[in-house]
Amino acid sequence: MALVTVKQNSAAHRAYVTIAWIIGIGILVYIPVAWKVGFAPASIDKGFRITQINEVICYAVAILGLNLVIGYSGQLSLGNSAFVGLGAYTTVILVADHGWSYFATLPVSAALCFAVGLIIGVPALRISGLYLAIVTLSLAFVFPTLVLKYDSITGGPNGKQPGRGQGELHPPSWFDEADRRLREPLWKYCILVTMAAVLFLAARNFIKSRPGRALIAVRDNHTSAAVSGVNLPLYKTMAFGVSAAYGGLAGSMLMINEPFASDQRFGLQLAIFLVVGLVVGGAGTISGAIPGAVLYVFGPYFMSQWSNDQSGMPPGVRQSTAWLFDWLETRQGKGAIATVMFGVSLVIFVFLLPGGFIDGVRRVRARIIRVVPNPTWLRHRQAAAAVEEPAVVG
Amino acid sequence: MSDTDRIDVSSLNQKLGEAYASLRHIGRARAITFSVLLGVVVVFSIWAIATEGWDLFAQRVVDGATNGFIYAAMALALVLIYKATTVVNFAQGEMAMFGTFIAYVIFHDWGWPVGVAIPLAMLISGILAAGLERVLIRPFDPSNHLAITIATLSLFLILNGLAGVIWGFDGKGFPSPFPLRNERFDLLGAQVEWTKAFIALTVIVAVILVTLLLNTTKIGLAFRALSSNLESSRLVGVHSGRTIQFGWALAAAMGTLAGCLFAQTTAIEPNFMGRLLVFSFAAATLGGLDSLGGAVAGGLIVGLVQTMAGGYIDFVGTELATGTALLVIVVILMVKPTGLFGSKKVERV
Repeated sequence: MALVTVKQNSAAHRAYVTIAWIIGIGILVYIPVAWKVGFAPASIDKGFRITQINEVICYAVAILGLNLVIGYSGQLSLGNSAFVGLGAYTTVILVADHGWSYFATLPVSAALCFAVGLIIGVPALRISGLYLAIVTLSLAFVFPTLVLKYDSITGGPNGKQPGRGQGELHPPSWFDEADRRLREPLWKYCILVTMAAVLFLAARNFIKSRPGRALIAVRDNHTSAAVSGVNLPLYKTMAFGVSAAYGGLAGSMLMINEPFASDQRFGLQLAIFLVVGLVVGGAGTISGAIPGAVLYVFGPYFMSQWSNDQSGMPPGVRQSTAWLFDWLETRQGKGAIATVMFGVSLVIFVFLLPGGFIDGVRRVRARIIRVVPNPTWLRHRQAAAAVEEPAVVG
Repeated sequence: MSDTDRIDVSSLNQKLGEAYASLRHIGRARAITFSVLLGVVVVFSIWAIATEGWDLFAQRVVDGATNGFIYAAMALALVLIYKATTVVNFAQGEMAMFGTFIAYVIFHDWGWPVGVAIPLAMLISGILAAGLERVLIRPFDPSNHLAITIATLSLFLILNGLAGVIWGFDGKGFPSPFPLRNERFDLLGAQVEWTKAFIALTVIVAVILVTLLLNTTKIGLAFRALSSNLESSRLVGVHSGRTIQFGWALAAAMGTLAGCLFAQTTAIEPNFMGRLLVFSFAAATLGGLDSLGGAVAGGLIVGLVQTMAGGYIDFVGTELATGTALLVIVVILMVKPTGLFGSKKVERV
């Protein structure tokens, strides 16, 4: 049983929600400040760490987009890396070859990805389940080959980036930051966090609105949804389109953070890790995108750090695994241990929390606080009853 | 006009009726689909032969088909696991890669002949896969497909990294188990390497053996029962855990065979199965994820489309050959959403 039980929309519940929001926003503000002030180990370049955090924000948007199609509309689409790549290349090409500013490219990449997503959504009306998963996975496989094929506009295997002075994002003069190396990453953090916040709120409202409920109905049972009057083709393709638009915006945001696009970055690996991030965060949850993105950016990174240098590991773990790393020193492909460690930790995670991170958090929360639904119609009825009662008695 | 010359109207009618009934049996939609596909293939072939001659055409058919047989072997492994657990095993390629490395170790470090090393490696990888299924897959709720998929993806990472740590990332040559290496024979104008002919033969024999195993043995019967209906087969006493384990072992052995065959055409290193896995996914999907024969047909189609489109259409070239093959699959799946030979699902509210 929960420790505290509160009624929905009561004063206590509102206070709880407000405090949760304040803590959430506080964390967003605190993160860059913490790395700046020196929470980061001295050996690590602070600017690089902030860039990584920016990357987490971008991938969170991509995973959120994937969640709209997998988690909410129930269609297994694994090819979202192609949309992330399409958005990224749209931004980079417009900035580098046509002299646009980064912000002007955002609507273009969102619209383009939305259109392509709708087109991809059309076969998805006929193909479903694992068949769809594999067809969309092949989209992720084909995207890098298209980049290499049209190397005159995409830069091919060398990648593409804007030249010096093209569309650079300089922090405005009022943006005060003593450390010059941190100025730009911190400014980008502010931009990206704002964009991501808008996109997350939009997704939340989308899910809570009529089309969102229709999508959930399609996921839970598409036959009964159709019987209830949901326009299946419309909502299914729209889920693909919106998801692709989110992917494209995530790609553009990645380019704002680090303006370099290459075929390697948006291949099969990204496609698979977006799904891993989605499941680890929690399918069918909005906030699950954030832990998923943290895992994608920091999981493999720390694993490979530790495989080279064990000083950053927690102390107990370091001593008990010393024999392993001593043995690894003798092996030629020792860097691959990072992949093994990441895989093992992923397995352990899925064993412990098969429903994802957010599901685990919710289960812990349910032990502490329980919110009892108290919908408006019920309160109206109670109020009406309270008014009527004396009349009956009298 | 004699009596015998007169056309027997009633028997003709009967024959027409039979023909029509058999057409109905095949299904009109299916007949139309196949005739359209066949028409496209025939037109393309005539155009191809007309433009660049018979010999090149025959050569490309042979090349595409030999690739297709390797895809088919791998697709067969995927289909076996899909039939058992209704999930796609993303680690199948890496399991095959690991099995191929085991065969390599048996041959290279122990000095055993290749002809023994490959079956032994198939056996070992089968046992290992049965263990993996027990430890990694069975503890999950079978209906939680996303979690199982993540488990197989983790297995992908673990096996890939482990192989890298143990054997390094340098390409290694895999020995040929077949005689007449580097020799060719002439088949209707095409030069066929004996190795490739043996690869095709091995896959065909393997498919026949697997089919026999599933159709004539008791465990095969249990496997088929399980793949048709999990709940009912449990009720009639099929030990579902062990049967799924058998499916994994069989799939891993099949995968190891596919890996060893693929290694005849390329050097082995921990990532060498990556491309093959995508093609075999495509092949399995095209044939229908639960059809063994479909896997073979799908593999051949993917291999042929890749070689033909890449060879004859300049725009496609080598870069887009795979993309074209995958596009063809999407088009076919649009017409037949459960693959060419896959069974349809009945849906209820």
